[in-house]
Amino acid sequence: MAKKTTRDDRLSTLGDAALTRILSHLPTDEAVRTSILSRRWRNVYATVPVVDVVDPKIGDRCRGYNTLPMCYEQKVTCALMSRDPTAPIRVLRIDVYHPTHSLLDQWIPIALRAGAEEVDVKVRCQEASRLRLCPFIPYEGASADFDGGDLARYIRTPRSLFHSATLRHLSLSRWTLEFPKDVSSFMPLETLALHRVMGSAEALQRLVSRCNQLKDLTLEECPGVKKLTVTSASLRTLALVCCHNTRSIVIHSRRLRSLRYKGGVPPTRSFFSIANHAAITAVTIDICQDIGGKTTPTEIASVTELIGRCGNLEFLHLSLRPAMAYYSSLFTSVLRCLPYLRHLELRGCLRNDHSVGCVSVLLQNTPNLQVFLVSPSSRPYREEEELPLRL
Amino acid sequence: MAAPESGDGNNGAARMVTLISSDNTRFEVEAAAASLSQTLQLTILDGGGGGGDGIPLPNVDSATLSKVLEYCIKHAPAAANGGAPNATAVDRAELERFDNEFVNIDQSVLYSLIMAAHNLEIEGLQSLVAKKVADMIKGKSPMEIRRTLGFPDPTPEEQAEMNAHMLEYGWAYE
Repeated sequence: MAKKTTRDDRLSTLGDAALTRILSHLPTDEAVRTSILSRRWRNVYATVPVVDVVDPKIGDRCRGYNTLPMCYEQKVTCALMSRDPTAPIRVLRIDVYHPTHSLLDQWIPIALRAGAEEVDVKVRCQEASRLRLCPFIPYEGASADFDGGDLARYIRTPRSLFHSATLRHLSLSRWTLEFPKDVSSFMPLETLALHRVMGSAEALQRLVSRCNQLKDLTLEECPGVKKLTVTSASLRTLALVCCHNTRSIVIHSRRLRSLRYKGGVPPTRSFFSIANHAAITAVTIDICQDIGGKTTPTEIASVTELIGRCGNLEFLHLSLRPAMAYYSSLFTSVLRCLPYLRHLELRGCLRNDHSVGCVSVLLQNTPNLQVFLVSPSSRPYREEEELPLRL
Repeated sequence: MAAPESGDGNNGAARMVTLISSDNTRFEVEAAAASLSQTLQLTILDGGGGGGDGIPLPNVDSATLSKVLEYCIKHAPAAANGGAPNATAVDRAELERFDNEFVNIDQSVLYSLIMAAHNLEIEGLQSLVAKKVADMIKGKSPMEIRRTLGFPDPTPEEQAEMNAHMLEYGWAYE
């Protein structure tokens, strides 16, 4: 019936490299399903260099757990085994709920032996302290650290991760960092992102010290971060998010361009020790501690001084809750010294005429501003009002 | 902060090259933009494409080439920046917006772009168009994918083959 089709099937005339590239953007099971399309597509999936399987069980709502026809672990194993064994794996992306440890310990070395450059393994589990990993929330028992119940749930990082010669990008969520003692050579990691990774300050320091080519470092909800020195001379972005036990961060790189910090008011002025502030063009600071009671400039000096030192700053995002307005005059004097600033975002409440006045003074002092966003902190982020001002 | 333009030898004015499409339309474009193409890069480094010469591209028609160059011109400054992501989230967001808009096109134009991106070996564009096709496939049943991609309906023989295959790869169908 569909003999005389005018449809455009040029896609099938593409070479394997082009088709493989398309399938690289799909979850592995969907990529495998394209093998059914036609003879042309039959074996394309087998050389796709990405293994990406997401566990459909979500969070602690594992209703339907028993109705799934196939367990997740079996699916990942099938995905790995149905590939062409000689084809390299570049990316392993696993998002798993309560995994079987022994299998997880197999998947990662398999990918690394096949030359993986990027490994991203998110483990999800029911957590007792889910709401507690922030000392600033008004919640009884709020803490900056994991509690005992969670400690037992997190899986230990496999040794192979730290012995790979190909791994460039590593992202881990909910693991216990166990950094082997015998790693003496440097690792080729360029990106390291740790989310809810528990481990001693020493283990974290040794890991970071072994990454002498690190460009991008993200540490999120890692209570083990206390005093950390990043020696990589290539570091260009640093994000320190809700690592509430941090006392000091030392950056040796002279190329740091982007800095993101979320947490309480840094306790000391030397909290960030950065070799070269002049390279920094983007700063995001989100103070989640209630600083309504702090009224003297010295108490937030660690924030204002940091911003003031970044003389080439172009992008600044500031969230100070609940009342940014108390400090707008303090920040006005700092921003006056930033001639290149062209994007400013403020989150917080402008409570009275005085604070509105302060913000308008601030705007008058930033002549190159192209984008100015201000949003109340209580509302969801996407609803923010955009006030593009021509200045 | 002004980074030196890659590819301009003399007095600061950006060097231009001429590209000639399969239907003989001439496009003059900055060498830095055209050099996003791995295929063209060597020719341009050797000094080709300047003056009245022009580089012929027998596999790319003018409509597709103008679209390709639109992409290259937009992405050239970021690529000159050592391929590193731009410093500010604003610039990144702007490029992302451009990319999304750029591939919001008719399927036959998209296919022509895929061919051209592969011929010219433009890494970023290859990824962008591949991702667009992947998004068209995502979440669809095999029959829906066949229709979306414009495959002819399967013959009964093909249908039988598909069914057998589906049994073999049951794990991928959950």
